[in-house]
Amino acid sequence: MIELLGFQEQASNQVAARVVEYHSSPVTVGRGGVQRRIPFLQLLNSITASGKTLILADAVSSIAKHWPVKPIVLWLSKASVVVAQSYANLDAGGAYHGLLDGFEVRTLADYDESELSGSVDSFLFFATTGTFNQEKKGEGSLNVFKSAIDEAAKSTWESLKHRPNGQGGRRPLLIVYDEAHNLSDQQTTLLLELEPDAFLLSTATSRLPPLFEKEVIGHLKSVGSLSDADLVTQVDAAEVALSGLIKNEINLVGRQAPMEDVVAELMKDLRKARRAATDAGLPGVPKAVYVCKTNVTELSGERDDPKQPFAQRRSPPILIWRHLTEKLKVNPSTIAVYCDLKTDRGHPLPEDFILFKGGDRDYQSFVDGNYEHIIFNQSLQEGWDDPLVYFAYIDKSMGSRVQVEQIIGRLLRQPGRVRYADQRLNTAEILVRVEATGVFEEVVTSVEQKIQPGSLDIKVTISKPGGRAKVEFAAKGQFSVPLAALITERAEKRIAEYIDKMSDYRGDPGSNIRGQGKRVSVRRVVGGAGGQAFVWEEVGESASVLARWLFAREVARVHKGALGVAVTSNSDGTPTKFDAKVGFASRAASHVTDVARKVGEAFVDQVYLKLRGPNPYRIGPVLVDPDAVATFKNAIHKGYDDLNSLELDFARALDKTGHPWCRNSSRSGYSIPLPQSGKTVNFFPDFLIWHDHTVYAIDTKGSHLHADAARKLVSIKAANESTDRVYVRFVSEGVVEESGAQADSSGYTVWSFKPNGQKDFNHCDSMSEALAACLVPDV
Amino acid sequence: MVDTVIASHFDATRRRGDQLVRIEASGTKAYRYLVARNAENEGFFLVWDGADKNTDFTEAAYEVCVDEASRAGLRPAPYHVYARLYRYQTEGVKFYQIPDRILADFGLDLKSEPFVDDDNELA
Repeated sequence: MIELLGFQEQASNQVAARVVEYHSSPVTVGRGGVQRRIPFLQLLNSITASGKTLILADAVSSIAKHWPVKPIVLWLSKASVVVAQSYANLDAGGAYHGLLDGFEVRTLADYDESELSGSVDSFLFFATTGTFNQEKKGEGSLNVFKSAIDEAAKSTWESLKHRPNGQGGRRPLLIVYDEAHNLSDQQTTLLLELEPDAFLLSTATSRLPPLFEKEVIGHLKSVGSLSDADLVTQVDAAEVALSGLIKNEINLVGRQAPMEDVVAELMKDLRKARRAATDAGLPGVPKAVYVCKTNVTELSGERDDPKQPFAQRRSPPILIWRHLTEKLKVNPSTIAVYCDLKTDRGHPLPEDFILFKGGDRDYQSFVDGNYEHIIFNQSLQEGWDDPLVYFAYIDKSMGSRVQVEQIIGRLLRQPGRVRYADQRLNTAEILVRVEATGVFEEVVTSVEQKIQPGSLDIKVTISKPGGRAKVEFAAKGQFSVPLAALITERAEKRIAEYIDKMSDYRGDPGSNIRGQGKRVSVRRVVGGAGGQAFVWEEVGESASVLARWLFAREVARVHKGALGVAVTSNSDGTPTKFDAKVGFASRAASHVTDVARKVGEAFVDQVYLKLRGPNPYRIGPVLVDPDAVATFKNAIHKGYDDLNSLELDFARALDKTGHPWCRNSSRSGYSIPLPQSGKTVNFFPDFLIWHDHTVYAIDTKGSHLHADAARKLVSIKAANESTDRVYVRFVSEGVVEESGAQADSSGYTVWSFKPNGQKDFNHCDSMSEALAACLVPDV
Repeated sequence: MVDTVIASHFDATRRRGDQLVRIEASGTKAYRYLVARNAENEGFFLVWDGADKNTDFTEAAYEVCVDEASRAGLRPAPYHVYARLYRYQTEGVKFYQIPDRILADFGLDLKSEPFVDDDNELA
């Protein structure tokens, strides 16, 4: 079963909480007998590969638990080559099905009203938007392709308006769409006819159809006084970048050179990445894509005539294929050409030329082939994103209108979903071959606007035409730093006590477990067939859930790690007090939530760090810009390219000590986990110095650190007597005291922490003096 | 228990049908915790010395896993660990709590459905 990462859980919780809250006090418009409720809207704003489907599936599951009448979810997906897979992921046995507990999953084509009225479960109906021509599909997935909302049978649509629950109620309706920018006005009209309770859409507001603005957003803002911020759940992009789900560096290289030179440069880097991948045990080999026009010759811009011998053809895919196979000796069986390349019977392509020109029909066999070099035009952009694709070559034939940011989107997913010590394996490289420098600048601007590197914490490095490619500096020798583990023993006792004191509601007569205070309304069907209408009716009880569900949710809000030591079930299968059912907004729910919060906080407060003996962090090679490098004598690498002025001064002084040292990358280097309320923050020191069986982790920032984090950093326990220690130190320019930086800007301040977590300041006149103060072990 | 872990393990991020391969203990290659590996050569460890003995993932248990993964030629990360408590929380470990995660992978989510329903029948 899949588990959500912290930022995914936060987003899911916010979406669910907002929908549930709105449901109890919705916006209504109209007067007298013609009042209608305006559906709620929640937009999920999140970058590629951050797990949008996961967040949305978890949110609908959580919402369903809050509602006494179980809802219908209409899950929309754009009809495309991957739609059958999207459905399979949600269906029983699929990757996301575990999140949808209590849900029956169907395609819209399988809609059956009697099934709805005969069950109290939630239902998810999978439907598609847009037309899609899929031939030769097996029977099993066929109904997915018959589930377009604009082609749904009239009876299905009419029944969906009623959506009975079998007890005279109308089920709430949630409409979910993870690519909502594809939604049209016409489809919006259709969906609004269903009187949904909420839309959960993954897109930006600006990309919704005008009708949505008028019928939904307008009312929510003007009548409901909701702001844009109330309508959007923003996923923290920096957290996504840190999580290892995506590559955290993009190397954008502009080249004014022949295709052959640029592809050869790509191949050189690809081979290095492959060696690194083998060493790191990647689940496959790094791959490259080549994006070009299909049937137009580069020189004249005319159509390439297929009625000529292969060797005389000038279309870009053929030229690239020939260069790869003839000059660079790439095995043709690893190359796929996925585009509508014109061919002629009288002049056949070579036998080993693998061409997929059938578009969507060829998609599956293309994916199954697991090709390592893929030559395509932009047709392959939607749906296909293989994490092993690290390199892209963008041909001059694409011109300045190429949407590089979309190609980057295809390259962002990270294989294995972990960061690697070799930065090459966390980096996507895009080589853009351009006519003129101006074109490359346009590309850079467009990329920077679209992926907003500032907020994303993805480093974008730009190499202009004429600039040199990044070079790799290997580590001079084997250097490692022990990683820190979280030890829970001090937290366990307190957590056990809280749990022990938690009340048992299994035998509760109802007074404590019944929800109170919140208005809960459900829709009842009135009138007979043909003349049905709905009235809102207040019900006395809210929905109820297991105490365990509430507890786990609430603990995870503070820190998920606490669940690892909070026991809620018996291993022999006998029930515990966590098996009690409690209503939302009941006294019991409030008590369980309170206990859960204390459990989470006890974990954050009491857990401590201890260095790990085996499997240390090993220093890998670095990639640097040869035009910006500062070189050093005693550094583990030949040089570094990303030092600011204070760091550079510090590095120079450090180099003079004669001890081995290295610059530590703030994105993929060595880090120390610091559990805090809400999430674990990783501390990446700027420099690591090895001296006398000790590693000094020195940072030239650090003032942002929370007192509790500081306390943990100063008291990292050794793995055992004979293993290396790690000490954390901070250096600031000028005079720094408890009250902050002082007017006197002379010298440097080395500051660390006393065992009680208080800062300890030591002012030094020179950098070398400051350094000497850093390299003293703790008593 | 070993059979249960192997039968239940379902990794949603990988293709279906990608089963675990059981590692049989024999002679000098006896393992205390290592029970299986997947197609990516990652080890699966069951920390279960018996109902009245250690069933928690601790520093000592981690060190046993490191040793066993190394002896069996498996990757140094991630280790997939089934245990009762996660007392040593560290990078490179995927923790599955017993019995909750095993039951969840079999389709019974303890957070939503009790072991025993209202009529005291097994759910």
